[in-house]
Amino acid sequence: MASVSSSTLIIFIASILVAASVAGTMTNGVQRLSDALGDRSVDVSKDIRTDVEIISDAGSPGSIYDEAVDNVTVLVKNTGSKTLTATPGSIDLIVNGQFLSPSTVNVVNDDSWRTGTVARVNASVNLSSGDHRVVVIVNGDREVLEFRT
Amino acid sequence: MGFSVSGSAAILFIAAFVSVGMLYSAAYNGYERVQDADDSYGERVLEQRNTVVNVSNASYNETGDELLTVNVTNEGSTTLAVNKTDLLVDGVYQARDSYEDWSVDGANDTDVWLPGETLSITVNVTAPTRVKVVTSPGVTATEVV
Repeated sequence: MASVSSSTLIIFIASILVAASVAGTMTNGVQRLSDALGDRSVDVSKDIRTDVEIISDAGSPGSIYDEAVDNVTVLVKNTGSKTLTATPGSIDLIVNGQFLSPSTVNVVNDDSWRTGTVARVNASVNLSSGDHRVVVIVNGDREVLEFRT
Repeated sequence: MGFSVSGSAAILFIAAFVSVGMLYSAAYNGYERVQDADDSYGERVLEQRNTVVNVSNASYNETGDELLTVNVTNEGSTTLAVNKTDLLVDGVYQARDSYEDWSVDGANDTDVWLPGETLSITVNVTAPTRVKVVTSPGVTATEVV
């Protein structure tokens, strides 16, 4: 009789241990998934709220490319619903398919790059005369400017 | 035997409930966040579609005071903001505090630029050829002086 009750106790303890470890693993996995989902939604909403527009006038290319100092200046307006970070690291610039890091980014008329304000993006690059294509990427929003020097 | 089965089943059930609770709240919060952003995107696009501006006149006073006057009419159905409107002369950004003068239908103590009203900006530049006006939703108008 005593052997029956002790073996029942052992099986009981073993089943509780197995169930507890399964439950722990499951909640851990789900917790990790929930965290990732939260982070992802923040990123996606940030991308949707970001909207920029290149407002440089391609009709006056002299204001975009300065031959004397080999410098490209692009005016980018924030038309989204989110304040953006105006630092060279947060803006990707591609000139004629070549990736460039902007040398300076400064916001015209304001301290931060709020909705409706314009940022001036400068990059030093040597362009020959002909057609050129500048791509600006901010938070996944891509804008293209084509001009001729 | 019977108690060990029901005990471990209870533990697993509780864990399942907790997991569903966590996953549901995370998924719903994320969905709502993205949905909000999407709504604001829709509103922005609507505003952009409803915005039309036209440079009615850009004149440079060559012989007199050498000032450039740009008249822009809001021909859309959205209310625009004067301090979010930009002026480019020959591609060069004209800072708002460098304007010689500006007015919306004669008034310069306002920031709203209503449909039908004309924004008039006077700047001091030498021999301009092209002007470009950029409004807050990103709608632009270009004119040759």
